[in-house]
Amino acid sequence: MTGPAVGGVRALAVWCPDWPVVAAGVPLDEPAVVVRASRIVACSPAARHNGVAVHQRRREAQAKCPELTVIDHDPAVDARAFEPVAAALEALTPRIEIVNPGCCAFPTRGPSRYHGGDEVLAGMAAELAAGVLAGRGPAQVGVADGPFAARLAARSRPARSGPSGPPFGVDAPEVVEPGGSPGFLAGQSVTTLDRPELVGVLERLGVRTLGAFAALPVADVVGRFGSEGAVAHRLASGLDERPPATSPPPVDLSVAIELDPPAERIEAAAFVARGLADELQGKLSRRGSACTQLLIGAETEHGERHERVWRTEGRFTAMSIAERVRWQIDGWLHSGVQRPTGGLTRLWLVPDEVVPAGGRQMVFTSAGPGAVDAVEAADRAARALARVQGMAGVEAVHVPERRGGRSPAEQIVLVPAAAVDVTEPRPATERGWVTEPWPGRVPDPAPAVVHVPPVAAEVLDADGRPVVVDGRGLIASPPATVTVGGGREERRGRPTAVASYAGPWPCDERWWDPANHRRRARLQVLTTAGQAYLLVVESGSWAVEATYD
Amino acid sequence: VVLVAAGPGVRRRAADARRLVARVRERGAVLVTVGGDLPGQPGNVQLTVTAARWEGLGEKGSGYLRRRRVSVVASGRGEASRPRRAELWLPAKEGELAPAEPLAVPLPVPDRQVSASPALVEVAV
Repeated sequence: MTGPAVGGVRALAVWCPDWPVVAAGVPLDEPAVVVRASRIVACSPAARHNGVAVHQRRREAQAKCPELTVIDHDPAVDARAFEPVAAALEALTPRIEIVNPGCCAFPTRGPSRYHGGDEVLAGMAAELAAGVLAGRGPAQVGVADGPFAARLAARSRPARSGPSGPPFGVDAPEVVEPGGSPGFLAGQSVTTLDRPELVGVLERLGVRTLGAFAALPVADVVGRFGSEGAVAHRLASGLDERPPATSPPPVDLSVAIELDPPAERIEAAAFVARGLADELQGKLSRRGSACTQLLIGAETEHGERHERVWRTEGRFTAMSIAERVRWQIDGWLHSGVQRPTGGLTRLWLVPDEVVPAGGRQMVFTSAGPGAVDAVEAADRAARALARVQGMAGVEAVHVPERRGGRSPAEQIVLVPAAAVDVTEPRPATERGWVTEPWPGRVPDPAPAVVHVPPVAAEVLDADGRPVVVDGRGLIASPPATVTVGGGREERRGRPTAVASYAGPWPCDERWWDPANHRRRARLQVLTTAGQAYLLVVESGSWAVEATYD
Repeated sequence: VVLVAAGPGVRRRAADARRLVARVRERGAVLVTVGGDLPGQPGNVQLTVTAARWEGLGEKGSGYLRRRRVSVVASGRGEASRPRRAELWLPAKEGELAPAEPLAVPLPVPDRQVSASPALVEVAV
């Protein structure tokens, strides 16, 4: 890249702050958070006012703000709720790019000339978005050179609404003069790049603003941070993420499929979309390309058409394309006035912006016969999951993830496979994902069988009396026999003698929440037959929580 | 390598088992069944835990279950027809599988089979 850099394409961004909270239908003047894997992904201004912040742990947020409403994150709900906003903005221009649910952008050159200038256009966009949101949340508008600067301009509007603020009206849009983007960006923090690892290093190096980052020589940035650094440097300099493409993508990359019979249900359409996404990804990868911006279109048997442009920061995978098709169709089906009247007959995907694919990472196994293509393996796994989803239903397929918790049952949870992208690295499946200490947790190794619900048991001491854990978490007399399957006489096992035991480990959870308060103590017991159990006692009743098999 | 695991809770019908095994052979995959052979489809290798002993519990409630030493016998057809025995940590301290140094005095084999005796069956590597 030599010579004076050309500024980005002038763009308008509409940003709805705290979108997951708005999408969940919670008024923003109530403290609420949206949580994924016990981490806050979004919070309402009222919660923020109380010290809650994104990326906090849920419990930390609850400690700061006990009356908090906690909502589980569902990206599909976000996307569906955002569809009316995008549809309203289509009155201005047909090319709305959805960056993510809650934020969309479009190039302003044409519409701005037509409607009479950036200010007027931005005002109209703000009116339209506010009209759709109808006071449920604010919509902020920014215009600048390049979608990145436009997004930051939209965000730079001061958040007006305190917990007792006025209802959300129309904020004055932020319009950065043409050519003014580098100056506007220079004062912004590097955290706006949204690349935590890079930002962490930059902050430790003392580079805190985009201006300071942009002032670094580009060659040094590439040498130190690689291609990701180069992209970030372009953004910080007020350029587009990528140099403008010199040639438009060839038309033969688009893929389409006819649906016969027409798909009436979202599952059927999503299943077809999955295959279509695979086909597109195959075409792209054969050319060594990847897609960063994509048009998804659908048509019904009554000729209604629905097209959206989706944009991603990284590169689309087959999985993420299929996910966006699902969001889009779901949003269309729930859009009220413009909802389709018939089944879907045609789906098409048109790559709008194509870039060279990143190199494929080959994984070498030490003992294996040779190189395993990690991308290929992940794709195969994803295809297998998609097939099973097609047969058993999307909700029936789950994948495990680690979570923080004390009992073995809390430490592994099953999440719907549809909610995760198995083609991406999944840190939540790695040992070491849970870094919090969880005092009182059952130590590793984990038991082989966890009984849900726990199996009742009888634990007696040498004199035949039930073993009791007192208020200090101590036992007066050690356990001598265990009988699994208490209660009904015929289902009860034989008493087995205890060879040794460990514990008790008392555990007093959620004492601040009367409805969910649990006071338990656990005991590991090894019988003379060699069987090991994890026993739990709650209000004087023993049960086998897990078996070390 | 594609690995298919069938747990003890899976409904086992001879027809399903035949189709599954044929499919696994055709794809060059490995089938592992837990809790015995599929009906009519004996595995190539059977892995059986013959003895097991937990370690880590101390006196008067101290310690915790740290690891379990198991004796595993592999038997089966073809190359595996001569039974082989190995001492393993299952699980080892981090929950993984690790080889164990053989003891001078082998673990006592109980009269009946250890209740936790997963018969692992491997078909068509």
